[in-house]
Parts: sequence; structure tokens; C-alpha cells
Amino acid sequence: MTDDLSDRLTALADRAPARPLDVAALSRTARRRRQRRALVAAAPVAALLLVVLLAWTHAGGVTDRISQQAGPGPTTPVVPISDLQASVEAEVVRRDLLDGEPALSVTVDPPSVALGSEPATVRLGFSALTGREASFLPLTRWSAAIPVDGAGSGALGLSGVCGARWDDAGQREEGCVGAPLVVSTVEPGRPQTAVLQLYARVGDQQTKPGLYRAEVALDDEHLLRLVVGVRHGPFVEPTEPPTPDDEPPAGTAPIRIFLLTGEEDPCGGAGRFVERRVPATEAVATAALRKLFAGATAEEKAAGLSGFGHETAGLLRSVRIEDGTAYVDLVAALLPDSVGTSCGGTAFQVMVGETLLQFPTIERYVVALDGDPRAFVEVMQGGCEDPVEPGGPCDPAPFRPRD
Amino acid sequence: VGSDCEQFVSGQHAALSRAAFLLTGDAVAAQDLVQEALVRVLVQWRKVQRADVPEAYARRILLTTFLGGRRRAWHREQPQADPPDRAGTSPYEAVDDLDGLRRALLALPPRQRAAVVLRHYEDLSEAQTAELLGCSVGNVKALTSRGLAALRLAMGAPEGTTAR
Repeated sequence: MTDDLSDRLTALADRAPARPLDVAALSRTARRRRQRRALVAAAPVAALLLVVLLAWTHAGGVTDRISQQAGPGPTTPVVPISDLQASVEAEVVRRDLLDGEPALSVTVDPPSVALGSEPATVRLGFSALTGREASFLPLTRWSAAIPVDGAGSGALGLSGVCGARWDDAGQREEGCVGAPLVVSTVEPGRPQTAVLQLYARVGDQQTKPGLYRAEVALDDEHLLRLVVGVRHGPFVEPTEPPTPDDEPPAGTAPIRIFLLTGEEDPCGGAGRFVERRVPATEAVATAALRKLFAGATAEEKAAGLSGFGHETAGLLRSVRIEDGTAYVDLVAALLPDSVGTSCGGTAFQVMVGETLLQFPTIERYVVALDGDPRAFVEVMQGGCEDPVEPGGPCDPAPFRPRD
Repeated sequence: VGSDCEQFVSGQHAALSRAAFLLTGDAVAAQDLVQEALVRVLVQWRKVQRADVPEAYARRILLTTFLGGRRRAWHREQPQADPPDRAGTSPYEAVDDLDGLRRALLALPPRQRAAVVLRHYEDLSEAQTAELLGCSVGNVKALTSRGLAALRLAMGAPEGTTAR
């Protein structure tokens, strides 16, 4: 196979698009990066995080109900697009531009809630804060992380910027939709607005609940980044999220998950177990982690408890228990960035560890991202032995599918 | 940084783009990856210049950028049974063998994918691959072997499935 494989890899590589290279632009980018490194060495540039969360409670309730309907197991129910609603949350990360001076301010107006095939709209206000002009001309690309498992697939269409979108027939369109807004310069005192529209689009007019993320890089160095998340779920009238005190349905069983008492110890040293009800199942560790990753209820938050956000509801790929070890496989694209920080990493380990180790059949656990435990170790800023020790924390063998 | 490095970067662009396309399976992600790698080449030009084989150094930068960028765009592509971003509309594309290979590659963990590409596309030795991946020759053998096994499984599997 190997000779044949080499030929086929070469043929596949031949499909790499031959695009012109703007060496001058690369050089400028490299020069700015060298300058910034010098600045960073003198005074670290702090990243400013603006988070706009809209329809959060509502969306969380929908997500939680979906995960309850899904029950244990990897497959999420497919929902007809005509029965969808999508609430939008936007997160803008602005780093200082132009030699460390704050040059651009980005605000996110309240985004709408999309119903059915109507798009959700996010308005972005750009304004320059300094005497310099700040162009967002290089707003040329976007990418989407689309978690897919089980049946169905999903896609995000994005318009209002140069990028890609999908039309009603599911055909991809590329180009600069709304380009006049994009290929312009933000001048001091003349703020501008860009409009992003997000659609749920698939060829068979079906999509599935989950978190969809689109990233827009405003320049080649990713100095400014927009992350838009869209939650999908069956359209329902807004109601309060379910609480543990709800009437337990027949055929369900209680399990416990560990949440943090965040205000007392932001690094996750303290917390307590709370109860959830899940369909009666033998896969209690899987059910417990799914509930853990779905986040705290409104009542628990009001009581000072904290946990994962609703955007991690689909984080768990699988759990397999063997000889006292739980092998936990997660969806890399949904792992919160905060897990890579010391506080976030501690919080993750405390919540997952306490939740798993309550079960007498589990003595230890190993976490992988998309089947790769080394990836998780790297996120946690740890190292792997080399060569990888069989049975060690970086050994991917236990995460491989078994016949 | 002068015209020498710009010539070098221009000369490496095509080769790195081909390798990046195999590593990412996506034209836009490959372009992002190559641009990021080439910027790093320019930033570290003096080191690149001093290297015994500057081309190999550039390839190493591409690889470390790829392996170190798990949260970046080129790691966000997910293998899908029915991807929405198929650019072509040819009715024959669904049975395109190379597209199947692309998807099977994408389903491999990044280090396995890198090992397969380095060994069977770049035609590097196990020792050279180990040096680039920063691991032992034994580890390269294991990565390559598992990658090939997964590719065989995926390519031989029924249409629409991918190896996990």
C-alpha cells in the first residue's frame, strides 16, 4: 500500500490551490511581530475580553432540554430546520493594535434570535480610538468549527464580510458580501458598523442542536477576533431551566455531579455535589459527565455554584472504563480556552475528577481530545514522556475504537 | 531582512502549500498555516539562514506551527460524512478516491497525520521524521504504523464513514 499511498498523497497534494504569495505583506507582518515582541518584552500586552451574552438563560434551557431528550449515547437528535431557533452570543477579543496602542474599539449590539430559516444578525460597531486610521480591510476569512457526530451535519453561513455563505440550495458562495463595509477604513470620530448574518444551512434542510462557532480574523496576525456561537434547538416558549426539584419523570435515576462554589475559591478548590436525574442507564459515568458539561442550573447559579458553560454541552465524545481507569474523550473544538489557564485547568480537574471518582469502579481517569491524550496534556501545559509509555497518560491506544 | 529571505520564502511557498494541504485537508486552512509558517520563517530568518538545510528548517517550522496550533483554524476542520463546504458540483466528486483519502487523513490524530505525510509524501527517513516530530524513531514507527492502519481501515470502509 505504501508505494501506492505515496503516489496518491502526491496526487492529493497536487490539488493544493496555487495562490499568489504576497511576500511584501508577509514581510510587513513579520516586521510588526518583531516590533511587538520587543514591546511585549518590556511590558506585556494585555488582551481585553469583551463578552456579550444574550438570551443566555433561554438558550441554556433549550440546550439542557435537548441533552435530556438525547439521553446517554453519542447521537444527538436531528431537528428539522423549520423547527429551529438559534440564539446568538458574541465574544470579541480585542488586542492592542499598532505598536501596542489601542486603536480599535469593537462593540456588539444585541444580536437577534433566529427562528426557522431566518438568520440571526450581529451588528459590530467599529470605531478608532486614536489619531491613527485603522483599516479592517484584511477581513477576508472565516472558519467554523462544526461538531459532527452521529447522523446529520451542520453549517454556518456568514454574510456581511468577505467569506463564504450557503444559499438556500445549500450551494457555497464565496466573495465579499457587503464588501463596502469591509473594504473601508475606520477613521477617528467616524464609527462604522458591519453586519454579520448567520444561517443554519444544510442540504437536506436539517441540522442538529449544538454549538457553532465562526471566527473572523481581522488581519493576518489574528489581532482581532470575533467568535460567534449559535445554539440550535427546537423552538419552544421560553421557560425556566429545569431544576433538580422538578418532578422526576418515570424511568429516571439520580446521579451526582460536582460543581464549584466559585465565589469562595475562583480556582476551583471548593465545591459540592448536586443531583441530576437521567434516564435509567448503566453508563452512569457518561451520563454524569454529560450533565456536568451541560452546566449549572439557574437555581444553582443563584446559590453561588458554578460549572461549565452551556456551550460545552456537547463536549463529551465518549467514556470507556477499563481496569479502574476512565478514558474520557472530548471534542477538541468545544474545549473552553479557559482550561488552558492554571485556574481553569484546576477547575476542570476538580469538577471532572470529583464527578468521576465518586464511582467505585473508577480509580483514575485519562482525558483525550479527539482521541489524542497528548493534545489534552499539551492544553494543560504538561509534557509527555518520549517515547510514549504504553498505558501512560499520553498513550492513545485506549481511545481507539474497538471491534 | 532583505531580498534573500523574500526569495527564499517565495521559493518555499509552493512546496509548503502542498504539504500544508495534506496536513489540513482544507485549502483555506492550508493557506493560513503556510502564511503563519512563512511569517515565522521571516521573523527567525537569521536562524533559518544559519541552518544546515534552510529548506528543512522551514519545513520544521511548518510542522511545529501545525502541531502547536491545535486551537487554530487549521485544526478546526472536522471530518464529516456529508460536508457542507464541498466546492465542486461534479456528480463524480462523491466517489472521488482522493477526496476519500483527504477525509481519511483528516480523521487521523495530528501527529499520526504528520508522520504519514513526512514518511510517505515528503519521503523522509524514520530518523529525519523523528527529528522533525521531536520524538524517537520507535515512536515514529508506531505513529506511522497506526496511521497507515487507520487509513487502510478508512479507505476500505463503506462509503460515508471515516476512521476515528
